[in-house]
Amino acid sequence: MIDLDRLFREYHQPLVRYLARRLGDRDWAEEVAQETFLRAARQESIVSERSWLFAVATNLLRDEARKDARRRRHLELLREQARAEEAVEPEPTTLERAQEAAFARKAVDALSERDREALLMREEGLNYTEIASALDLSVASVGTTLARARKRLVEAYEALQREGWPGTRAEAGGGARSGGQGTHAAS
Amino acid sequence: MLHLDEGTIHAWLDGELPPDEAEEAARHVASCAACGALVAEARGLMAGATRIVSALDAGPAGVVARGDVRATTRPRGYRFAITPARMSIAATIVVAVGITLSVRHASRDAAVPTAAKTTVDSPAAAAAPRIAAQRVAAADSISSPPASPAPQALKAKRATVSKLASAENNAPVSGKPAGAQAPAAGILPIVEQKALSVSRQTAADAAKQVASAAPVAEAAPAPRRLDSTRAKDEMAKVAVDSISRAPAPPARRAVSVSAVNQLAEVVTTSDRDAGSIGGVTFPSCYRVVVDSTDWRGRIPASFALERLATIAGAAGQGSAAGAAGPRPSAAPVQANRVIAFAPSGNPVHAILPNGRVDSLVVGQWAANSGLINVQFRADPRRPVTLQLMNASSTAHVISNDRTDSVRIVRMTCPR
Repeated sequence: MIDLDRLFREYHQPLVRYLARRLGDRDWAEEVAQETFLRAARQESIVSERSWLFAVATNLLRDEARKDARRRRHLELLREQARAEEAVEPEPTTLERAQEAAFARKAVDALSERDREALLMREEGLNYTEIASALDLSVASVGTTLARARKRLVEAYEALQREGWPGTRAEAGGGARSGGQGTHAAS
Repeated sequence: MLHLDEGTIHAWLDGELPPDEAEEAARHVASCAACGALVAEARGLMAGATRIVSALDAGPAGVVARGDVRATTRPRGYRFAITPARMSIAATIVVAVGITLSVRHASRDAAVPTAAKTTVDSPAAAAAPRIAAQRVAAADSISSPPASPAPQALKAKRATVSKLASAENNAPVSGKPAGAQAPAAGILPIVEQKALSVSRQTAADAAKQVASAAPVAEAAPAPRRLDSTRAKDEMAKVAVDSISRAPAPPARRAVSVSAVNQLAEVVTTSDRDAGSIGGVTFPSCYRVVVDSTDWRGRIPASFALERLATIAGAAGQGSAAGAAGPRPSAAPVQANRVIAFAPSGNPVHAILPNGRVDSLVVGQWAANSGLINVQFRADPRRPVTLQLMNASSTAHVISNDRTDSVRIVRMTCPR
């Protein structure tokens, strides 16, 4: 019988963070994570706990792929909220942060599903073997998948920065664009 | 040797190549300029990807954490949230089932003890025993385990997951004390309260008239009906999904915040000599909002950048040998100040969890054309440089051959 308490304390936070990054909705992420742990509780034993949890959570996400429209609505809501936040708290970092988050979300969404999941799992510290197990890939192909995902992500993000966010282009103007480029060229 | 492909380079940089292949790759990169360029590009891509992915945490956290916004967004995330409307429907179903069962078996009411029946005179009062019996059935359905052991085990596990989640949120799922009921009962308290409260409201008038009769009926074991099992099943259907997701708004907000600030618990400096540095004005203080776990313990969660001039007094004590620039002695010197190392630049202090500035110097910083380089010495063997960029909330962390991105927020310096 698995130790649910230990499993939860060890993996809940990274799993929720992975799901939240994947979904853009922390509440929804926690809900999926809860369902994942519930399924874990039904298992007699789990060989590779972390890859098992991430695989189940990823499958749950795929089952709910039809809810992409909801995610888009949520992003729209975030945009509106970011604007409202800007009005309340006109701190420079707040606007930039919200804009970066929106760019990041759009860039991540531009990736293929496999690339996105592999990248987010790697960012949560899963090793290549675990990623391969969770995504049903060969271990040898994980490096290539990650290389492609990272390259496309950065390219998409930089393209968004060059173009500027449609809703904020008029408000932020060229300053945001040039400032953004200058800031991130350092990386 | 053939050139390295991108997948191999990323695997090598991720430390995922077998030792022999890693050694071979390192040897090749050292001798091949083209592959060296690819490795440099891959490092940049990895750092950039990490920074972009980290930015995903920033947006929703900053927005969702606001109370007024939560009120708008939260129901979207809770398909099974307990809303007043849903609770009303659930309570209505429970009451309707109870009343239906009572009516269907009205003929069996003869089995009710005569003491309860003989004291009833009015039609309204006649309903009281039925309702009381219904309450007994409802209570029975709550306190006794379900007929099927498998659903019970599932409910118990679901309740366990909920309890773990709520424990992490620092708030209980329900107000019931742990261990007060059997495992299956833990998922029913809200329905129990609702159902019984509705029953009490419905029967209020009748109960007034038969104040003496109702307790007798409640206490008597005879009204326990065979239908209580069915009522149990109905109530369990209502309860399972909703109760396990019972929200606790303030606690969830706290978790959101703590989940973002992973370094909140990490303080690299000692708690000794934790008094704030009086009279010193810091040019700026920062908080690390999001960080890869790899940096945990190597950079403080919050830190203050102090101007060199203010440490000059301490340097005058001989603690900051080699410090460059003028050393005015105007700044007050605290006798108990402990210099962790001799800074050659402006000193850096950690901000303790209690919001005060630690007097220990944990690093040094220097500004250079829009960049501020902060060097931390929490681990002398692996010094960390945090590169802050002007007007950017993203900072780069550089340590040996690793570069990463963290999100930092400028904060009000403690006074």
